[in-house]
Amino acid sequence: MSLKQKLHDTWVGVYESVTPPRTVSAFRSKGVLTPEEFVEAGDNLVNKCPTWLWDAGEPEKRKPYLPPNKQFLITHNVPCFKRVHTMEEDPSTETEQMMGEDGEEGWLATHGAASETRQDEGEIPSMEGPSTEAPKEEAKAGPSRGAAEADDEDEVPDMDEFQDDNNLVEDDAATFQIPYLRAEEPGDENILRTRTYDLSITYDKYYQTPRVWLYGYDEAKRPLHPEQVLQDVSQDHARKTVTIEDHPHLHGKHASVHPCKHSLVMKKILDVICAKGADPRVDQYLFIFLKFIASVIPTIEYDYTVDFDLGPSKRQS
Amino acid sequence: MAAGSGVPPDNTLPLLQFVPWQSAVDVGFWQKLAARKLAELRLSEAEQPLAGHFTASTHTQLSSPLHVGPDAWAGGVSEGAVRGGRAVAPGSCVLTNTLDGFKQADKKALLQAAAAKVWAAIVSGQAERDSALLNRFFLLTFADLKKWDFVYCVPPPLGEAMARACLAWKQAPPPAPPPDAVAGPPGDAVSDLAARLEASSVEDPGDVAAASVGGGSPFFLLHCAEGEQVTAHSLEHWSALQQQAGTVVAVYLDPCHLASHPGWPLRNLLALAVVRWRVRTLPVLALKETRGRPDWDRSLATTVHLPDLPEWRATGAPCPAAVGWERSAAGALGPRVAALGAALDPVQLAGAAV
Repeated sequence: MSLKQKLHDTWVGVYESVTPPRTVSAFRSKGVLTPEEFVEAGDNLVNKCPTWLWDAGEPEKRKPYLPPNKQFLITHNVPCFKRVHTMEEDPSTETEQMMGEDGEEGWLATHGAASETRQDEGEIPSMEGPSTEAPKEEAKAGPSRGAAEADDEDEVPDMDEFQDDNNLVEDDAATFQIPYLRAEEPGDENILRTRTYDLSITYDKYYQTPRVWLYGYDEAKRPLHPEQVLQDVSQDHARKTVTIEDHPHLHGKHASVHPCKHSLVMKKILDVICAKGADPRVDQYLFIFLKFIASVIPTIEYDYTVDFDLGPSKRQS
Repeated sequence: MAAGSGVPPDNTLPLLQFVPWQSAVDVGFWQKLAARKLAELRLSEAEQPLAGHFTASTHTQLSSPLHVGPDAWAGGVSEGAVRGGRAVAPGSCVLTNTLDGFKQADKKALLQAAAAKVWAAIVSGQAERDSALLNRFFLLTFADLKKWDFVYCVPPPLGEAMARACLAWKQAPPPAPPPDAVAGPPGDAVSDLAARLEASSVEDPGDVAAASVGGGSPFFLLHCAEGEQVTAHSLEHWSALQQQAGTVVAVYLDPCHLASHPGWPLRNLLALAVVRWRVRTLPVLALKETRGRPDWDRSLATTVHLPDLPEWRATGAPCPAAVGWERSAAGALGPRVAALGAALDPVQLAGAAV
């Protein structure tokens, strides 16, 4: 986290503590939500897509302007079968553009064309990351070569240290011996890809919009290091709009899509929808919002809203 | 392990193999554990109650793990986080003080002790009233609070020594004709279950399940009566339902995504069926879900053929040998490590902040 970002966070914290939450709806005019509208939109999301849940989070981190049992939305165990860079190399997987050609789509996924040049930049963490480089060896070396490895090799615990003396032996004919799930891709079986994510949506009082947080696990359900999480973020957004920060309701560092442009983008999308003659309701906000987030995390398959149509004819009732 | 001891092996049907259950212990759980260790537990190595939660498999390529989160200390479901398909699994945790203590702990004995609790719940009939007891898990861990490394083993829900159950999943090729000893061709009782559910007068079969599962019940019974009425019941109504006409199907939330094998929770249900219901065949439906709702097309129905195990039904029968230690990423039955210094250690966090 840069010093600048730290200062900004401090400012946001102070600002939030002295200003009241928004009370007047500006959903259509500014693309923002009041806490009440966030709860309304969240209720609709939970109702339509039951994999999303309301969560109360840590009691000491509760926000007074939200109901105690509806602090944020969370969905667990969302699969992510491939890394973003493999998708960006393959033009056929280009994300479908959601809206008409004439809208201003600065936020839309632009996979394919822009990716070649980016791969040369040294700071992109995805390609030579520890998990894709030599996964077979990792698997053999045991869990010690875990998520923290990227940081400092010295502090990685040696697995032999933990190995117990009474080795367990189980020879149960009725246990199906399954290797950890790997994406099935003949000839490329060394690559570990089946990560899962916990996605959460919080209400950001400062920006008055929802905010998405990611917490990832590798295929053995070990927490991913933040650097590894950035491999699953569109490389146009990694380190720019996606940052690693403290979750407002949970413990630990989570990757987050920074909400500073959310209201502008939402306003634009809403304008386009209205121009098509539809009349979006505030309780549909999160459906639209998740569509927009999909451009930032194209490989994470929280796909339950795919059939949500923004057109007026098939609008969800 | 003497799988299905005492039963002549039935070679015409394949042995039922259960897919082990993966656990997902999240960072919030470790953080709470560290706080409790310092403030409350201190040097105590006593067993602490826990609760995890899980859903049926939500994705065709992905199993659902047994999730142990920050709410595990408070009963597994945090305030507000309640929905139909989410079931709670009770568990317990032993936190050793030293790494040597962790290494030298008699893991076999600990696992067997935990299995004995499941066994006791089955034998006493308690598990029929509260079916979540069949999914009990156990976690052995050591927390290095200086480096914020957590070493742990989670054997998720103990599998009783249950075997020689034979299967023919709905989508599997038709099995060889069974020998005379086996009543009815496999899958017969439930082969048309899906069709019946679709044709049933119940508008949405999911509602039937949700009504039952809504109470956090990971196992329940579906009664397909004459007239195509389908109703959900708790496990304790098994014998009462047998008196009525129609088919009774045992349903369980299946965290396993595979169409070829059942998930781990079925094991203990089959043990219950042998011990309490004394059946030789059991129609089973492995309930899976899609987008948070029960998905009857993905759910698999089959008839499981069970061994006759009189020694299990004897009064005071000892708990069969338990299995179920979760394998590490390397595939060994060793411990797993969560190195969370970067996420939790205040010193490292402070260092990363500038």
